[in-house]
Amino acid sequence: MSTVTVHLRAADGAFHDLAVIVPPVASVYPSPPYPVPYPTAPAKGMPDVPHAYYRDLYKAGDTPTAAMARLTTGAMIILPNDGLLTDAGFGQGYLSTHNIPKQATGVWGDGDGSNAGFTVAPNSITPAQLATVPKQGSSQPCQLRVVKQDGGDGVLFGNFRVAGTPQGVSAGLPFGCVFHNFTVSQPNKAGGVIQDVHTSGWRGNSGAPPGEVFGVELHGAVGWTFARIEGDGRRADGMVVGGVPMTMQNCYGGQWFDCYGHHSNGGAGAAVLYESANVRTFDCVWGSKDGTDGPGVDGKAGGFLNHEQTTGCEHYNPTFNLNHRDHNDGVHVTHSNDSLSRTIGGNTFKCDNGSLRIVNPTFTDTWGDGKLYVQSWHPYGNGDTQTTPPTVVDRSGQPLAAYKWVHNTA
Amino acid sequence: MTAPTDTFGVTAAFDKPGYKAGDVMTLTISGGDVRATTDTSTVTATLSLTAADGSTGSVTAQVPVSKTVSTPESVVITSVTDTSGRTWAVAAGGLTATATA
Repeated sequence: MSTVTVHLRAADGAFHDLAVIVPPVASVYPSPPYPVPYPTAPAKGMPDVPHAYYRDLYKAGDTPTAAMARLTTGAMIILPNDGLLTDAGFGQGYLSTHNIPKQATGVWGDGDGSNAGFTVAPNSITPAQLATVPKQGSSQPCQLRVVKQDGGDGVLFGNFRVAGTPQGVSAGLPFGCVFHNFTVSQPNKAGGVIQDVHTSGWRGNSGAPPGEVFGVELHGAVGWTFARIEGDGRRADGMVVGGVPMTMQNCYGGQWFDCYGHHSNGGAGAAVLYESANVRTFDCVWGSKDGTDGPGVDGKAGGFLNHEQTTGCEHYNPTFNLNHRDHNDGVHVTHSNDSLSRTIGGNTFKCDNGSLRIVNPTFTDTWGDGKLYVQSWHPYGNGDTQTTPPTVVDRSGQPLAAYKWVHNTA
Repeated sequence: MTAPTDTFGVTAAFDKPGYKAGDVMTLTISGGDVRATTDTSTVTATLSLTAADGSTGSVTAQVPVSKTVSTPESVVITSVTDTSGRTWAVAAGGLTATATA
């Protein structure tokens, strides 16, 4: 920030000096490195919106889903801050432990939210629910979720926790079966926010469905924001079992602020952007800040940011903590495209040779050459269209010298 | 008469919240100066007096008085100092100045 001094003279000859702050001036090479003004995250704290307290909805004998379903008007449900809402198995809505009713405009944890949220009773999955998980290699997604709103009016979810627990251990799965933690799918309204959510212990075991599962996932949304979401792949017992901490899928025009994904497992990365366009992230951190990611229970962890069939995505001041190096699993960023075309909420985008820009990254020297690695590979049966390297620049907009694009290399 | 005082009520604003390098930045001032002049003098006051027995007289007193006159004055930019090295040009009329970002 700089200032100028404006020297003034009045008609009577009196003089006066006025100091004025100069607005930010962005470099133009190759394009302004930062948006002006730099976007800011939604503030903490619940806004003044119509709401209903869970404790007032609840009647004796209700499951949490039944209690929330008593909401009769469009309002935000305020969760109690005296313990996570718990139910058994994944029998609500469509294979969820908890189903947020469509008429809820959101869910918010009361007080500081540290003891508000959702969980699933340990090892409560039924054999029938377990049988819904497709076999690995099928590329079919897992549909089990701890909490979900599907096709609803929600626009703000925040200030709560979602904690996964072991499921299916007695069925011969030593670390449990896979499931997602928190999902908002096909929201009715654009511009919603998920903020200050802590997700942990959801079980994932692969970089591809069904073992590729998510701590927080948003599907089919336009202009939504993630703010200060933390995805911690560790379970309460300390095991690193979590899949991908957070994702936007089939989304258009999102923003992420100060998000943090760590202790992921199964090689799927710390965050995934999938079939999405024009998503911008600001000051997010991928991989543990204290360098303790290490391998998960499936032998490898992912502290990287994965793009699959995306374009127009930009990452400002990201940090990549990737403290391990495995074959095909040791790059800071992946960015791969075929010829996918999508229309999300009336916004059509094509992923052919999709663009990606990274500004002022901080990263681990994973390969001993001091470079940031971005890999474009060939994951799809209908071709590889990525011919243009992603743009990586420093904070002044100059091309980052310590950057290597690895293309079509397994 | 005491020395006049000037109170500058001037603000300056840029035309955009941010710029790209090469853009023209325009700074515009608004408001003005108020010149206050205070004239202090002494006047003679005569007080007519009447005693209880009906006799009359008078006394005089020197009373200091002051009068402040406020006059709005227009203000112009004479120059702009920029520590980043930009050169600023002041437009005719003195209400705006421009520089290249």
